[in-house]
Amino acid sequence: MTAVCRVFLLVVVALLAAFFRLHQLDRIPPGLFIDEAQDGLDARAIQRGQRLPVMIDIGEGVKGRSREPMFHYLMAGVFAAFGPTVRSIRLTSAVIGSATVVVFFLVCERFVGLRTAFLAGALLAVCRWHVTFSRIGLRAILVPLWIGLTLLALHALARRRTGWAAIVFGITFGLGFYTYYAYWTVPVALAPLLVLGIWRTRAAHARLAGLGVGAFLVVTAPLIGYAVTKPAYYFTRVLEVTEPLRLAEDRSAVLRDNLQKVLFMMHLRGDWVETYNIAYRPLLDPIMGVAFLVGLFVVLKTIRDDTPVKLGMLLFWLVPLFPAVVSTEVPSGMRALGAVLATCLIAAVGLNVVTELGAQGGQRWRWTAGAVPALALMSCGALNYRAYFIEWGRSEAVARAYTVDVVRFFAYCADLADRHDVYMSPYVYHSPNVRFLNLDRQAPLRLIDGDTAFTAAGADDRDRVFVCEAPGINAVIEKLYPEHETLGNYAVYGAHSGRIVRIAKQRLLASLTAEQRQESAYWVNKMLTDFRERTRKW
Amino acid sequence: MTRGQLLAPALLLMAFCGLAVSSMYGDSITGDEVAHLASGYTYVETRDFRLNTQHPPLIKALAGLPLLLLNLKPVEGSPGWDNADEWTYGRDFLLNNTRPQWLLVFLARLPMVGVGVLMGIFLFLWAKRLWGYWPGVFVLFLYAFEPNTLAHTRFVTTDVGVSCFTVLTLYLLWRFTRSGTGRHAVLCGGALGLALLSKYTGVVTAMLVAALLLVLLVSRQPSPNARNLSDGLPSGRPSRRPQKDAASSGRAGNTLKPNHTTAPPEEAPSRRIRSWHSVPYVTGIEPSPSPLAAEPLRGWHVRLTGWCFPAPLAAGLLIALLALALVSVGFGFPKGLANYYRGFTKIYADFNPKWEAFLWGEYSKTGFRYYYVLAELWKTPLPALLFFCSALFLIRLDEQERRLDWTFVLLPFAAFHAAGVFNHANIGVRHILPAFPFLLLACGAVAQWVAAQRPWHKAVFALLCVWYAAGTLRVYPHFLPYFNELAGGPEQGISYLDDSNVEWGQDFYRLKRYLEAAKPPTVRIEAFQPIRLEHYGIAHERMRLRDVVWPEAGVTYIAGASYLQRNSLSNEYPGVRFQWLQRYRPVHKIGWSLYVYRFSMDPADEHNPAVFFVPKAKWYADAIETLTPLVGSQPEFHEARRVLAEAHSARASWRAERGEWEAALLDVVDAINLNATVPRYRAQFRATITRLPALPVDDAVPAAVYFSEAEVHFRSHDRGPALLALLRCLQRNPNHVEAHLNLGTVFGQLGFPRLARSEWQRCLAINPGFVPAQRNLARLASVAPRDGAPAPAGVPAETRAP
Repeated sequence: MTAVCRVFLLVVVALLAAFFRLHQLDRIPPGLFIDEAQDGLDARAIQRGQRLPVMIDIGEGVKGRSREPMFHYLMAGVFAAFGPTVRSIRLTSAVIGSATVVVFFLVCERFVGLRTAFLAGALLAVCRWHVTFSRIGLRAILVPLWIGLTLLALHALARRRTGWAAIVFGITFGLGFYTYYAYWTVPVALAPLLVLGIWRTRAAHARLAGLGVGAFLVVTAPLIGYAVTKPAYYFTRVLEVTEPLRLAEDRSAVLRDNLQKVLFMMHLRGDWVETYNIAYRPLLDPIMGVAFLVGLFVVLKTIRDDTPVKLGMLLFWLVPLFPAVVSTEVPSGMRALGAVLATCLIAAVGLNVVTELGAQGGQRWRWTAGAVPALALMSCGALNYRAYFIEWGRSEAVARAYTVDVVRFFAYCADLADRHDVYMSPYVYHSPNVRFLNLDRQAPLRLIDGDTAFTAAGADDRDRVFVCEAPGINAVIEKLYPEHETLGNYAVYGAHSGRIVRIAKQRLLASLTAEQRQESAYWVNKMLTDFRERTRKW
Repeated sequence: MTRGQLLAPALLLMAFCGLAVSSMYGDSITGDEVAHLASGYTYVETRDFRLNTQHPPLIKALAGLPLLLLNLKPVEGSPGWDNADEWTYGRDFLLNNTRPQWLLVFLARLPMVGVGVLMGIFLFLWAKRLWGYWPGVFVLFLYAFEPNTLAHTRFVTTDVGVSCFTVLTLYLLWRFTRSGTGRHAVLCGGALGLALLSKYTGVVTAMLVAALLLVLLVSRQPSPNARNLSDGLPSGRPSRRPQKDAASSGRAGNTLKPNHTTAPPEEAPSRRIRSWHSVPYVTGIEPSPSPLAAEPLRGWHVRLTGWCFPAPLAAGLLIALLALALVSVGFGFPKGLANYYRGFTKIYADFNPKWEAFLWGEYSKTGFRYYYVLAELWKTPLPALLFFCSALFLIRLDEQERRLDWTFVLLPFAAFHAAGVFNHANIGVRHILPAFPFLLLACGAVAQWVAAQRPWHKAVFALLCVWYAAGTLRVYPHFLPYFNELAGGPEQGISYLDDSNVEWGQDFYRLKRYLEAAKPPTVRIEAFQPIRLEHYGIAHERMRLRDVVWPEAGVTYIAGASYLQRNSLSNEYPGVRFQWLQRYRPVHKIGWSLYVYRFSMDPADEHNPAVFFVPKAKWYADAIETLTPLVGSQPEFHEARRVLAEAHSARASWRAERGEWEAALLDVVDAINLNATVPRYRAQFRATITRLPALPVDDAVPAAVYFSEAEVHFRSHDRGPALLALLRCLQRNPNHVEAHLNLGTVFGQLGFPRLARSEWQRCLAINPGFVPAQRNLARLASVAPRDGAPAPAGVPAETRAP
C-alpha cells in the first residue's frame, strides 16, 4: 500500500465518521436532555471564567454529583467559538466522536495493519452505539477517544523508547482520568499488556518508567488532591450507581445476571433507556454482530500468533464492560462505551477473514476478497443510518426522552416574555433545560419568589403572565385575579396541573391586604419548600 | 463392534432408562399429555384421526399402543369424541375409565422412553463413525445425562420423537454421502417420513435434507486423498505413545494419519475419483463389499431411462417420494397428505390470544426472537456448552469432506435455532429439542482431541464429565425445571424462563404428599392444572384476587412457578401480577415448580422459618399499591375495587387502633369513595370522625389558608385531605361559615346527609342569612335521604369558594 492509498483510506473513514456525526445534528436527537443542559450550564460557567474546577461538583446547576471536567472544558471552548447553544453542546461530542474514529484508525494501523484498520475505522464510523453518544453532550464520549490516544502513546513508547515518549504516555494516560469514571478500567486492561511487554523484552527501562509515572502523577495530582480532600463528592456517583449491587442480598446472583445482560447487549437485548438506544435493540447491527462473533472466534483461535495484540483486543473489549456490569440500569451502553473500539476491531477481524478466505480460495472466489467486506460495510452503514436517523431519531419516545415539549414550552414562554412580564414557578424557572436555553435567548423570565409577584411594580408594568403548576399559587391567583385569562396548560409529572395565565396590567393590584399577603406567602413558601425537597436528589 | 464394546453403550442406555423411568413414576400428568395420550389411543383403536390434528399422529399412536392391552372403555360415545374436542375427550378418558389414570399415563409414557433410547443408539452410532468408539461413548454419556432430553422423553409429547427421527434421517443421509448407496437413501426417506409424522417441526428436517443435498450438489467431488473428518483436528502435542495411538486408531477409529494408510481403499483410483464411495471415511469400519455395490445411485451420476441425474438430485427425489408416501399412509390413507396439510395449518389451534411470552424479566405479545438461543444457553449443562465451544475451535476447514461432515453436525443445530427465531410461541426449550443431539454430537470432537493430549487436559476433561453427570443427578427427579449455573440453577430459573421450562403440572403427586405431611387447615392453589386437583385427592380452594394482592395469614398458598411469573393471574383478571417473587419468600418449594407460601403479620413470627413475616404496614401498603393503579386503569374491575376498599378500611381500623387518626380518616374516606354502599365503612367513618382528636395546626397560618388548601384538594377530588384541611380551618376559626358550608358538602358527597345537615345548620346559626346553606338544606329536604341509607352519588350541594 502506498502512502497515498493510506491517506485516502484515512480521509474516507474520517469523512464517513463526520457525516454520521454531523448530519442533521440540529434535529437528531431532538430537544435537549436534562443532563446535557446541566453540563452546558457548567461549561458556560467555565467559559465565562467563573470557575476552573478540577471536578464539577455542586456548581452552576442543580445537579450535585461530582463529574470529571475535561468534557466541560472542551465544551467551553466550543461555546467560545459558537455560543452556548444546544448545537454547540452536541458539536463538542460530534467532534470528539469523529476524532475518535481517526485516532482509532491510526491505532489499528499500527497494531493490525492498514486493511483491518480501514475496516475497523469504517465500522466505528457507522456504529450506532458510538454514533449515538457522539451526538449527545455527555462526557462518556471521551472514553473511547482517550483509550485510543493512550494506545497511540503506548505504541510510540514501545517503538521509540525515549524519555519524551514516556512523558507523553504518562500525560495522556493521566488525563484520561479527567474524562469519565469508566476510564478507571483502562489501567486494568493495560496492566497485563505492559507486564507482557516488559517480560517479553526482558528490559526494565527504569528511567522510562520513572518519567512516565512522574508525568502521570503530575497530571493527576489535582485529581488525587480532590479525591483525598473531598472523597464524599468524588466517590458519590460511583457509590450511587453501584448501590443496587452493593445492597443486594445475593451479590453473586446480581453480578451473574448483570454480566449476562452486558455480554448480550450487543447481540440480543440492548439498553432499554430510550435516551441512548432504541429500547432493547442490540447495540450492534446484525452484520456487525455476526462479524464480531466470527472475529472473536478467530482472535481466540489464533491467540498464540501475535499474542499481545490479540490479548489487548480481548482485554479492551471485556474490561471496559465492567462499569456496566456493576452499575444500575443494566445493560448500559454508555457506561460500557469504552468497549466500542475493541468491539469494532474484533468485528473488522471477522470481516477480514472473508477477505483472507477469498484470497486463498483461488480465482473462482477471489472476487469475494473485496466485494464481501465492501458489501458488508455498505450494509452496515445503511442499517445503522436507518436505525439511528429514521427509527430512533423520529421516534416519539425519543422526543419524550429529550423533552422536546420543554424546548417548545420554553420558546413559547420566551416569546411571551418579549411582550409581558413572565413569572414562573421554581420548577420551571430553575429547570436546567430552561436555564440553558435562556443563555442564548436571554428572555427576561422571573421567579415567583414572594408576594411581590402578585402586585404591580410600577409605571413600566406590562401585562403579567404566571407560569405555575403549584395548585396553591394558582388558587391564590384565581382569588386575587378572578378575571384572568388562561393562555394554556402544561403537564408536570404527567399531571396537567400547570397553567399559564395572563393578567392585564390595568388589573394588577397595587398592594395586598394583610390576609392576602399572609396566604400568598404561605403558598409561595410551600412551593419553594416542595421544590427544594423535590430537587434535593438532583 | 465387539461384544465387549457393547458394554459401555448398553450401560449408559440402561442408566438413561433408569433415570427416565424412575423419575417418570413420580410425575403427574403434564400439559399436553391430556390431549396427546387420549388422541393416540383413538388413533390405534379406531384409525380415526379426528382428534388433535394440530400434531401429527405417530408419537401419540405409539403412546396409545400399550393401552390396547388394557380393556378400556369404548371411544364411541365418549364426551368430546363427536365434536372432536380432544381436551374434553382426554379428561374423560383419563378420569372416567376402567383403569386408574396413573396407570394409563405410566404405560403411555413407556414408548416415549423407548424413543429416547432409540435416539441414543442412533447418536452413538453416528458419533462412533465420526469420531471413533470412545468419543462415541462420550457422546452417548452426554446424551444419557442430558436433563432436557431426560425431562421430555418421559412425557407423551412429540418433541423427543421428532428429535429422534431427525437424528436418524440426517445420520442416514450422512451415510449416503459416504456410501452413495441407494439403501441409505431409501432408509433416509423412511426416517424423514417418520420425522414428519412425529411433529410438524419435521418440516425443518425435510428442509435440512434438501439443503444438505443441495450442498452435496454444488460441492465438488471428494478428493481421492480425503481423510477421515477426525484427521483434520489439530493434534496438539504429539502423543507420547505413537504405537498405541496407531493401534487404537485402527481399532477405534481415532486416527491422526491419512485414513487410506490404515484402511486401504477398496477401489482403484480411477474409480474412486468418480465415486461418492471413493473413500471409506471412517477408520475401523471396514468398507463393506456390499451386494449393493452395483446399485444405480452409486457414483456421481445416475442414468435413468437415458437421462443422466446427479446422484444427490436422484437421492433427493427418492427420499421425498418415500417420505411423502409414508406420511400419506401414516396419517390415514388415502387422505394422509390432506390431513397433514390441514393439521399444519392448525399448529396454533391451542394458542391463547391473551398469552404473553416471558423472558428474563420481560413480557411480549409477539415473542422474543432470541428466546431459544437464551433458553438453550440456560438449560444446557454448562460443561456441555464448554465442550461444544471447544469443539468449534477444533474445526479445520481445509478439506472438503471435513467441511461436509461439520455441515451435517452444525447446520441442523443452526437450522432449529433459526426456526426458533420465527416461532412466537415461546413456551419451552422443548421446541428446539432436535438441536440438542447435534450439540452433543459436536462435543465428540473434544473427546477425540483430548485423547491425544497431556494428562492435565484429560483431568480437566474428566472433571467436566463429573460436573456434567453430578449436575443432572443433583436435580433428580426434577429434570423439567433444570437450569445451569449461568441461570443460578433451578432455584433461579424462574427469573429467566417459565411455562414448560419450569412448570407443566408435573408435581401434583409430590404436592399431595407434602400436604398430607403438613396438614394445613386451609389450602389455596393457583397453578397450571392439566386435570382438576380433586382427582389427585388434593382438597383446596382456588386463589382469588384478594389472595394474590393481599394474602391472608394462616392460609397455605400454593402458587405455580409460571403463575408467579405470569403477567396476568389468569384471563379472568387481566393485568394482575403476582409480585410475590419480588416481595415475599416461599417457605417451601415442591420440585421447583410449586411454591408454598405462608404469611404472618405477627412480629413474634419474624424469625419463624415456617412462615414469612410481613409487617402490617407493608402488608396493607402492598395491597393498596398493587390495586390502586389497577382500579385507576380499569374502572369496571369491580372485584379489584371491592378489595381495595376493603384494604383501605382494614388499614383505617389498624391505624385508628394505633392512634393515627388523621391517616385512618384518609383511609376510610378512600374506602367510601371506592364503595359507598358498604354500611360498615360508613359506620367506621362516623366512629372515626367522632373520635377524631384535635388536629395539629400551625398557629402562624390563618384559617383562610387552610380553607384555600381545602379548596385546592377539593378541586382535585381529594376529599380526604380536603376534609382534614377544613377541620383545621374550623379549629383555627370555629365560626368560619364557608368552611362549615364546604364541610357539609364533603359530608354530603360522601353520603352522610345528617352530618351535612348539621354543618349547614351551623352555618345558619352563625349567619342566618347565608343563602348557600339555605339552598343546600332545601335541596337536602327535597331529596330527603336518611343518614345511613345508601347514597352512592352523594348529595348534590353548593360550595362556596374562598
